[in-house]
Amino acid sequence: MADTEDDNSALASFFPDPPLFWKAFTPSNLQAYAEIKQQYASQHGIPVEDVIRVPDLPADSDLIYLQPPAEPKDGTWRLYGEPQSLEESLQPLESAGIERLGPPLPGSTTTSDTQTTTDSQSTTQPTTDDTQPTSQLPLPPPSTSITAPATSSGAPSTQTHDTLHLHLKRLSKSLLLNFLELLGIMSLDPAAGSQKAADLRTLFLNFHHVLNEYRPHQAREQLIQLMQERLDQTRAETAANRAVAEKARRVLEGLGSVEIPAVDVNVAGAGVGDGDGGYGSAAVPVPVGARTGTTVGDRRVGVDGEGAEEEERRYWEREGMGWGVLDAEFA
Amino acid sequence: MSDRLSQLQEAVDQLMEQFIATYFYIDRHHDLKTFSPKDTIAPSKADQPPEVDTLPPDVFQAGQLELARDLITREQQIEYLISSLPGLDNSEQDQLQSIKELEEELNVAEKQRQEAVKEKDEVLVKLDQTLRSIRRY
Repeated sequence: MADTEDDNSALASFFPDPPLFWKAFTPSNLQAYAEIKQQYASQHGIPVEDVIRVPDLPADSDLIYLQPPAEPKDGTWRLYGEPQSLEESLQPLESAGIERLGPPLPGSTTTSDTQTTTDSQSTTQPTTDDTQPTSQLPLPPPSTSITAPATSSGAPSTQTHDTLHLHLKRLSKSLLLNFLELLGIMSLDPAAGSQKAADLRTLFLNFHHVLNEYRPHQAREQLIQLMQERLDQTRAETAANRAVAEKARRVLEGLGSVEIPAVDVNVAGAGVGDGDGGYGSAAVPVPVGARTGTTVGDRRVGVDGEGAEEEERRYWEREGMGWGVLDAEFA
Repeated sequence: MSDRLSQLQEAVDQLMEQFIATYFYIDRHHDLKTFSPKDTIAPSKADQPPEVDTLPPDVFQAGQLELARDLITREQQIEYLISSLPGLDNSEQDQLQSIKELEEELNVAEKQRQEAVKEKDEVLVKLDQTLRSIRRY
């Protein structure tokens, strides 16, 4: 208890002192810790960035301050006096001290006899004549009828949520009606309004609770939707790819079926020469007879004699046929 | 744009806010009545803010009407959202089943897609070669 005075002075100071372990963050310690981390990572075959905590550090060294503490073993801890838990779970309404209206959602194991709780509530709490008949409005007679199928069927995982619509709509209608009643009561006897306000509160909490219970279902539903979309997308892509490939193949086949006239060596030589100039202009088919030997596209070709003219004509015939087939395929 | 469940939750919260707003509107702007002819309404003291800010009856009525309409509209929104919640007919087992099926289908479709891409590439190369050879004539 020698530190009592120090503690007091620490408490009295305006700003709290830094945690005691701040001195452990020396450059040498940091480096040593980085090395240990590196070593641990290479031992376990994981990237260094993924190492959050190296277990089994020597307890007496300052190095243990350089990493976050381990998770609590029992999964619970206290923060500002509030118990916290590693497992995030939806607290059942009953344990929060709120009466449940309507049937429990399939999957949740809590069951409560709501009818009796409301009865006891309305008898124990003094109510005005105005409120008594309506305070049970959240529990209309049909609510017992939906409780029956919900509790009778055995396997919760195969249950559907088809009663949820009805239940939620009932709750929302009850909200409106209770608000109307609240206004009516407040206009007559403001002191009696608190109970109606409490009813409203219960209704709202129930509504939200039901929605929260529905969350996991919604999440799965959304996943299904996403996967379906992805599937459609993939299939569409496949189909588009196949279509293009098919089209290209047809073009190839069309080209293959074009009969290419036999070409003698002279003609082939001339053809190569003309090919560069004629390539672009040949895409517009020109009647073969209309062509003169001297002008090919935009380019003048020196032609001497009938034989050369004949070669020219045959070349363009070939070319025109080839491109004609291509045009037809891509049309 | 959040999912429908969140929209529904927000709508419910807004409904509650509207309740409160409506309540305060009426609380603030109602008129004063006397119980018997002998009662008088005490004039509010000058140094204190008046407890109620009485509006003319027609304005008050119109305000009430508007607030009531808003409440009904919100209620209808909520009910619409409720009826459009997805997948209420599916149980958890159904959902898991369809997730599994979709996963398999996705794998198959992905393989097919890759094949199709490969096929397309091959044809493309072929077409390219053919075009080049045509050009050479």
